[in-house]
Amino acid sequence: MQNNNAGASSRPSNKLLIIIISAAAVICTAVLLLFRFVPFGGNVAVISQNGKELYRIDLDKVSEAYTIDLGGNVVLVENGAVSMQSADCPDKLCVRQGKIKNGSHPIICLPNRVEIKIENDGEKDVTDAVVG
Amino acid sequence: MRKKLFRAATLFICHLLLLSLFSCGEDVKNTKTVFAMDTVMTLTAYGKDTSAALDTAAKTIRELDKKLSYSGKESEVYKLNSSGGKPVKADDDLLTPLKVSLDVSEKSGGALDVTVFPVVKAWGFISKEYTVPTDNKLASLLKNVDWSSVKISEDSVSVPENAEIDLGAVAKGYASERAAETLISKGVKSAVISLGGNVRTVGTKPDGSKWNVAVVDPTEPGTKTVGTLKLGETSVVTSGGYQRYFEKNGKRYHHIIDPKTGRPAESGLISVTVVCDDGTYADALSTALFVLGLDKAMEYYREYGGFEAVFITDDKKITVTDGLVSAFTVSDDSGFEYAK
Amino acid sequence: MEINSKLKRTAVDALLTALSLIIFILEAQIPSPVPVPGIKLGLANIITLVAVSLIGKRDAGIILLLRIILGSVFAGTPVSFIYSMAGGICCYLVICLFYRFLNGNRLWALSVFGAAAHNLGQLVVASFIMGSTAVFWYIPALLLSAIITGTFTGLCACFTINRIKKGVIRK
Repeated sequence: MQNNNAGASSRPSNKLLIIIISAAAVICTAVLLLFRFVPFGGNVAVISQNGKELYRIDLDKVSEAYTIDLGGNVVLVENGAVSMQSADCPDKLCVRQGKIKNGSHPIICLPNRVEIKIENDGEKDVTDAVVG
Repeated sequence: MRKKLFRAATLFICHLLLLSLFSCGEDVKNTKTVFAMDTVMTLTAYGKDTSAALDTAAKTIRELDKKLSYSGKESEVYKLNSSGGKPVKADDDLLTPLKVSLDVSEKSGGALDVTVFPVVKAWGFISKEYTVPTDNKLASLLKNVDWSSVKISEDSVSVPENAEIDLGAVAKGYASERAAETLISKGVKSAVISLGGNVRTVGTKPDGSKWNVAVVDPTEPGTKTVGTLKLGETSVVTSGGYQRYFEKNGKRYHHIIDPKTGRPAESGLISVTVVCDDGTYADALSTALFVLGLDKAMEYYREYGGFEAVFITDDKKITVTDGLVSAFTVSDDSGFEYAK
Repeated sequence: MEINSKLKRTAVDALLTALSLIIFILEAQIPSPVPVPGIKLGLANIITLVAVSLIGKRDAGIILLLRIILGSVFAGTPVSFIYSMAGGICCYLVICLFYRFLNGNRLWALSVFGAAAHNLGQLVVASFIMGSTAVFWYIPALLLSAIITGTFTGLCACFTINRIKKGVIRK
């Protein structure tokens, strides 16, 4: 490889690059782990298409699982979780993402512009138990 | 040197890739449903690896169900009732709820009474063949209703030959307490145990905030709630006539029998919710206070304390004890309001 | 390494375009191992890096542009064309900007920056198309993937360039 003739001082050393990029990788991994392991709370699934909110579902109140057909994408709503059951997009990444719960990552189907995210219903606090 | 650096970078990045794969697939909330003590129980624990703890807690509840039931081969209560008045050896699972029950009996002047069981049976609340007993029958049954006839020593209990006890008013509370102990001993930091009218919380929500426990609307128990309690680790128990009742000739008869009259308690209260750190006490108190009625219940609260309560009277008024004023919120559209 | 004659340049550009197109289409057949939209190996980027290093930025740009257009015709949709274009332009600009500092054995780092720019560019377009900012939750995942895949494609490009320079392909 050729690098002996270039002005070495004006270019970052390979060592420095490795340190910077490794650090970036560590930060990204840390943030990803944070997303995965820290429950962000939230119980409301918000389903939108083309940037328009279509459904807002309190997942804690779902007693029986059901599906929502968005034409192309079918969303499976269960107690406490939501997932993309099927999609007519070529890559099916949205389906493979599986269920999302109170974590933060939204399910996104880029080709069909469908988005499912979990939000905290700020106004209404979730009921954890009913007594009586 | 260059090659080494390349290799190190590649290796490092491979490790990161592995690490990110590891972070996939993990449960945050585990739930278990148990059918015991004549009700559906739901145990919910937060955090991964909590499902084994839930299984153990469910096992604890089932064992207690057998021990504390009024019938069955393994029932300690049945052994006691069929002992012919002789002292019977008893373990903590029988002694603890019994002691709590007798303590509340004493303090409430007999508003709660373990020996009222024959009367409850006469109304058909156990067999589900409901009848209204005649005055004569009630009078004769009431002769043997006396909580003070139950004698407890260090490791044994005696019940008079002609009396019969039932721990139905405290069994669920005690079971929730034991289930909570089990979960805590297994390292669970955050859980809700819901046994019908009994709720026992462990720790706080995973995010550190308080639990929201909704209180059922006694006039529309299936659909509405009166309000919500914001609580840390504690027990909440509601007693109300709406929970089990039958109707005959246009009159409604509920299952909370006043040991004094042998008839369903008519105290003006339609539900009492007790918040107490001990689930067994909460359970016992909710029944006793329901029988006592609002005024006497408040007297009890001022004299003995150790708990907080939400009282709902038949004129749709809510009374909350001092310790719950900030924790309780009335639902907007409930139609209930605070009593003056 | 210079290419003097016009004919030669056309031939080399066409060759590299065809190569990158083949790589691109083959890669599109491999299902993504991670269920996050936008994450892929980006093997076609090897050609861009090789072209920038050996025949210059201008021709590299032409090859990239042709590959994106033809790639979308053969193995894509109008939507995927927009994403490819956005990613490609961002990647190309970053590569041109940093090539001065990151050529030779630092090419892997250039590749990482290019991949990161590619992913971020696509993300911005995605947020416009979806009309939502939720896609930005994917930033850490996409950056991490850019670091991993970028290093890989960058190293591939380095080895390829060395091979070519050693005389496997002569002027």
